[in-house]
Parts: sequence; structure tokens; C-alpha cells
Amino acid sequence: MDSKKGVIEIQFNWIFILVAGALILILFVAIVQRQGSVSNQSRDIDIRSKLGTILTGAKQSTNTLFIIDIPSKTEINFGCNGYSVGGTSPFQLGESFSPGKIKSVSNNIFLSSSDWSLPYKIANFQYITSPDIRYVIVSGSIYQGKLGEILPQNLTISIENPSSVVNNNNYKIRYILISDKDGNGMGTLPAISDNSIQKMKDEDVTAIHITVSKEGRDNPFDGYGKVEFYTKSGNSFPSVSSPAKFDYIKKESLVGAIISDNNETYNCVMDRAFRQFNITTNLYLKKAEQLNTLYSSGGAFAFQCNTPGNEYLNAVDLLNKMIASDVTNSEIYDYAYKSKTTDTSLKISNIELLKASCPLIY
Amino acid sequence: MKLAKTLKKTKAQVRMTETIAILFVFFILLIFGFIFYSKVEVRNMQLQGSQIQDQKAVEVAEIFSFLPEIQCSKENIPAHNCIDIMKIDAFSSLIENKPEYQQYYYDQFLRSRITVNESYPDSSVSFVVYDQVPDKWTKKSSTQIPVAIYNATGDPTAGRLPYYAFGIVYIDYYS
Repeated sequence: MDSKKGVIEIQFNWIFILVAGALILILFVAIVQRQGSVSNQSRDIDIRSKLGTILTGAKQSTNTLFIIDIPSKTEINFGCNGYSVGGTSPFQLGESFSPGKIKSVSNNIFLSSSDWSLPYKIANFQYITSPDIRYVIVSGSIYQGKLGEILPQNLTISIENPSSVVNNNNYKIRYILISDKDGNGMGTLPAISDNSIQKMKDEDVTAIHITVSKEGRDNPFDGYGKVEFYTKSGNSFPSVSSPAKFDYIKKESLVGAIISDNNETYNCVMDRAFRQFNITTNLYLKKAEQLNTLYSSGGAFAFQCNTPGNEYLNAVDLLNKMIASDVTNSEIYDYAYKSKTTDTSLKISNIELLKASCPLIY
Repeated sequence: MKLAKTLKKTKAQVRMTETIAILFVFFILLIFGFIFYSKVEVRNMQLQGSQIQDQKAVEVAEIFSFLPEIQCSKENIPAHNCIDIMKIDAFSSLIENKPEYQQYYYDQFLRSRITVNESYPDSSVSFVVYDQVPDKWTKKSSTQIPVAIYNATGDPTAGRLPYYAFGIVYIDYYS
């Protein structure tokens, strides 16, 4: 009877140790797992916060390429709501263009920005991309040699025939076709022949078709035109469902369309840019109205600034037309640089005011 | 015999109680350690949060300094640290009168109050450019930026040419 009790007691001790040990083990495993997840979240928050500060600073320095180191395996997602890292909430950065996902095996990303003016400065457009994204200008495109001049430096760009393009382990490939309004240049994209590119995810192989309607003075892309977005399906490029065709105005918005690989995101950022355009135009309108009132009422300097074309009144008229609800991009461009009908523009008015040593509109 | 049995039983109970007591002390120590660690973590997170708020305040100041809507410019070439008084006047009245503009700038300036004060020659000139102070806030980070304020028209009635004045931009960021 005694030895039986002893056996029960020893067994109970072992069961007790096992249960207590298992509980302690579970507790520590849970703590370690939770700590791992907290640590990842903390890392994402830290990257997000630092990235926000870096991007805000870099946005103000136009025409400068910033190469920013990022922690390994970092993936930055970009959408209509802005940038996000891991599971963190996205942050907005105004007029900023990026592919949907930014990552890099060399652990760095490229930042650059350009000012978008029509003809006064409206905003700095920021471009954020990765050295691992390949941009292929389809050979035979019109102005193909001029496109590299407007794209941010250090991008992986090549002019190639699509049938000869092979996979170089880039995680995204973007084909660029260019034609003019008369149909000169490349209008359609041939099928993808490389097997490994065919096997890439559809959203990672995209194309853009640029139609230049009006050439700019310094660069053919600095005027206005249209851009059409395409996404791979199998080995061909059917057009993305509506709305996939947008207007661009000035080279900065065209570069934005090339950098963005998603038509919805591009549309969203350009909506924001045009809201900024409306606000800025309203401000200049108010300024021009004030100047017009001041100098037309006969003050001490009125004789000096009473220019032949009454430039302040002309500016008020043009600015009013620029914020009209039914204005088109081509009309905005003409009002800013040269009108088809009246041969005046904000730029010309500003030059006339400068010649007369009067306060400028912009 | 009976006494030996009782003694053995009592010994086993004492050993059991000892084990439970050890486990109890172990868990108490574990809980103390955990509470201490949590407190340190919370303190670190508060510090990190405070740093992020300070960074945000600097970001708001930076964005405002380079805002094309208010910067002085000549032939579209901006002059840094210079504010055009006509633009700032138009800007503050637009923001005040149009709620959709307030909403638009909230993404950039968040919960802050931005004022531009002229210091010399006329210290009475002041503009509240943006005002979104929350009803309840726990921390305020202030930044001051000295700027030139450009008056493009001067004062024609007094025969005064266009001039630059000294001013300060006050940016108070609330969290």
C-alpha cells in the first residue's frame, strides 16, 4: 500500500513539473513572438518616420538626385493614400509619383524632384523609384533620344526592340512607346517574346504610350499630349480598363506618368496637382486684381505701370480663364505661354511688366 | 506505524507546498520583471513619440518655408526665406473663407497655427495664415523662422518704392 502511494506521488510530481514547465515554456514563447512582432512594427514606424522626413526635405531641392539607403528587405508601398511601410498607416507627400512597390536589392532608392510651372510655380513634383526597375524605350519611337533628358538620372533606361528584351532580374519592367498626333513613331507594342518576362506578375510588366500633341520649346515633351497605361496579360498588353487615358501637361507630369505604373494612382496624384494649380491660380488672380486696382486708380506710380497692353487687366482675364471649370489642358498651356487667338499670355504679360520695372505677376 | 505514516504524509505535503511556493515566487519575480520592462518600453515609446512630434513640427516649418504660394519670385525664380506680402494676404483670406482649402492644407500643416509678423519697420503688420489648434492638446512645439517680407507695390500715396521688411514666421505645432 505504501509503495503504491509512493509511486502515485512520484508520478504526480512529474505531471506537476510537466504542466508547470509547459506553462512557463508557453509563456516565454508567447513573449518572444509578441516581442518579435512589436520589434517589426517599431522598425516599420521608425523607417516610416525617417522616410517622411527625408522625402519632405528632398522634395524642396529640385533637379537634384538623392540616393537614399534603406534597411534590407524594406518594401515601400505607394497608392492613392500615399506611402506606407509594412503595416503602418500611409502618409501623404503631396504631388509625388512612384511605382506601386519600391524595393531594392542594393538597398537604396532614388529621389528627385522638379518644379511644375504653368507658367508660375505650382508645386514640386517628386519622383521616387528603385534602381531595380527597368525602363525600356521601344526603338522606333519618335523623340526616343530626347526622353532620357527629362527622366531622373541613374534610372535603368535602354532603347530596345521589345522582341530582343530579356529578363535581367528586374522586379518591374516598364515599356515606353512614343508617337506624335499624326501617328508617327511607335503606336502599338508587339507581344513579349521572352519566357521569363511572360512569367512575371502582370502588374510588374507595364507599358505607357505617349502621344505628343504639342512640342515644348526646349524639349518635345515639355508641351502637352496624352498618356495611355497598359498592363501585361500573358504575353500581350491589352489596354487597362477605363480610365486609362489621361492628358499630360509639361514634362514634369509626363515623367510622373512614366514613373507611376498604375493609372489610378497617376490620376489621383494629378487630381491633387490640379487642386494645387487651382489654389495657386486663385492666389495670383487675387494679386493681379489688387495690382490692377492699385495702378489703374491713378497712384504715384500709375504712369509708370500703365503699360500699353494693360498687362494687369490682361493677366486677370487670363487667370480667370485658367480656373474656369471647362478649361482644357491645351487651353491652360496656351493661356500660360501663348494664346492661339490673341497672341498674349501670362508669360508675355510678365515680361512686359519686367521691362517697365513694374511689380510682376509671378 | 500510524505516526510514521502521518509523518511521511506531512513531509510530502511540506515538499509540495515548497514547490508551489517556489513557483509562486518565480511568477511574482517574473511579473515584477515584466512590469518593469513594460514601464521602460512605454517610456521609450513616449520618447520616440515625442521625437516624431518634433520631427513633424520641423517638417511643417520646412513645407511652409518652401510653399510656392507665398514665396517671393521674380520671373518664376523663387527667393528663399522671402514672403510676398500680397501673396500671403491672398493666401490667408482664401484659407479663411474656403473650408475646402483648409481641408487641403490640413494634410500638410496638420494641427498647427502659422502666423507671419512683420518686425521692422511696421511691427503692427501680422497675418494668421493657418489656424487649426485642437481643443485638447498635450504638447506644443514652436519654430520661428526669420524671413524677408517683400512689398511689391510700396506705398504710392506716400511716394514709397517697393521695399523689403524684416519679419518672423511663428509655427506652433500641437499634438
